[in-house]
Amino acid sequence: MEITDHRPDPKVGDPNLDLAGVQGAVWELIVAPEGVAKALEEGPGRREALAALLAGDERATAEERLDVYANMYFFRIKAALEEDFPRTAAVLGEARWHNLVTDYLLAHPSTHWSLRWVGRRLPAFVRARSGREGFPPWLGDLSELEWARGAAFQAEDAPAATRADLAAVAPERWGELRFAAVPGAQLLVLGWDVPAAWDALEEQRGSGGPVPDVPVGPRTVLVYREAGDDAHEALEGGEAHATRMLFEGRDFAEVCETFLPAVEDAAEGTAEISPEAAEAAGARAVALLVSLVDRGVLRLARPAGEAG
Amino acid sequence: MAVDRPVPFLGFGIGLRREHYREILEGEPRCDFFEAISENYMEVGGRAREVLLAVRERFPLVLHGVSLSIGSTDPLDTGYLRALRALAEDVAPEWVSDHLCWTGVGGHNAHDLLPLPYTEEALAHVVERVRRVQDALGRRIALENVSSYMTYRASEMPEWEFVARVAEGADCGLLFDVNNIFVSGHNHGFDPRTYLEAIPPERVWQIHLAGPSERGALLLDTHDSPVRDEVWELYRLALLRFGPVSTILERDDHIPPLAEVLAERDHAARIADHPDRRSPNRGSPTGGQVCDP
Repeated sequence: MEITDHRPDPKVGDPNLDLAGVQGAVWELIVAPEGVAKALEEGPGRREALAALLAGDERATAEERLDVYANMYFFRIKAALEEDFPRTAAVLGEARWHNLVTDYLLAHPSTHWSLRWVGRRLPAFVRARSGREGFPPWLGDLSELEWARGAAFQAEDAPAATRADLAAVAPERWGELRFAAVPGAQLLVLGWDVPAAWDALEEQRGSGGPVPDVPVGPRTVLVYREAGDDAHEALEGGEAHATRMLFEGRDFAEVCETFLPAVEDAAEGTAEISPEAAEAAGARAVALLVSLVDRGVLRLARPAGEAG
Repeated sequence: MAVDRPVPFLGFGIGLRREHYREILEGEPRCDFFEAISENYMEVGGRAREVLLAVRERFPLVLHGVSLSIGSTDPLDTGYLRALRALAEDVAPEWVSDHLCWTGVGGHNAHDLLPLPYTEEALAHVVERVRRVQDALGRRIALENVSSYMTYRASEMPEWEFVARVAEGADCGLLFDVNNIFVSGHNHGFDPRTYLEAIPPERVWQIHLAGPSERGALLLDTHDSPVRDEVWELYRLALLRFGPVSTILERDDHIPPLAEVLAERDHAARIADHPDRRSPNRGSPTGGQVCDP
């Protein structure tokens, strides 16, 4: 697999380097994608320049010493990405995963103080490689779900709405309720039914066996944290749409309306919704709301007392 | 020996690692205090935060960061400082520490502890930034000496002079990592006792102990093995010079069962009981290259 080298020429060797210059020169060599030795071979005078920057001795040359840092840079971040994307890494296999991480770090070096965020652009990076040899078309969806679950696991705590909160609202004010997703809870729309293959992908990761089939989607997936663990659940059409409305802060009354049956002659203005149908729609919306509240994924954005 | 320090003596503890969460919370670990990696709990909720708060209820706690990047020529990360301050306000640690190093430049982060050149320019740069960090956090901090594998030709002073002058100039504490001076002494060919003797005792708030690994002729600070005999001996000498200092055993890779880490903690406590007694089984602090003090 070819790797494009986008590195600027190292500035090592300038005897007047200040602290910023020293750090810049060291940085360019330790992030070189194929190691310090290869980087030194690629430009005239680079080896001499390194010797002017760093000292070696009988224990190890300057190059060998710098290479310790180059290795730690790459393998520490690669290990962190493997924790965040274990199934994606397993599907690709070690060689492709290694090259993917190399390319990814060239394109998206870590810019955040926490390793937790280093993989935030990896799902899109994987998706852009869809169809290449060894990259199944659903791999972008898989990495997106893995990333979302990790985000849910670590998301900051926030007070979630409870059944008691709902019970405290007078029934006639429920239509005015608005909600929002707690940090880490989100809806993903995936082109492939990755949730259906989630467990099989985990088994493949452990066994190194053949990659399982992933059915075609689309699928809307709720990702959340429950009792401290990250989780996901595929939602069906009506529930998926209504959940999105709740996350967007729409009035609960509007959410209820999404469960009303389609009325063919609504354009004529003559349609009527039967009381039974309205009651059924309301019951479905309430059931969804309670199930989401029980999962701890909603916070009250506008209690009834503040409605208006 | 009584040394006047602005922080209490906490005894002997271990690094808080998720592999041990359950045992710590469900048992009665023989541990005086814990050290948590700050970044693992900053802007993070869920189980990690729950565990940290539960541990804090039962034990003294110190926070130890890896991303302050005090020596970088990039601007200080104000978002990082805000998040660290918020965590410190939540868990009320006995103190907060980080490393005397840089972790990135040009807006990029290596997530590694890169050594500084020991120059007057770097010294002034770090001292000024430590003062700003202490203002931003509303507390003094301690900085840890890092292990190093490379030697800058630009350095104008030995590492121990640089470390001591940072502490004095910035009026901060030191987290004295005994294994790191053993590792760096091995890698650069200096006697760690020279380093030890240059450190002002009243600046030493805490000690770290850990085990290195070998890569060719170099030692790496990997925290993946037991403390070596030479490091135990150096620890004894450190206690002779510094007096009682709060001590943490660190493991970050190949993390063994809790009992094994606690056994090393116990060993540290036993040495601290009688630092004047040199065990015949203990190695030389220089790995046998230099004669006894």
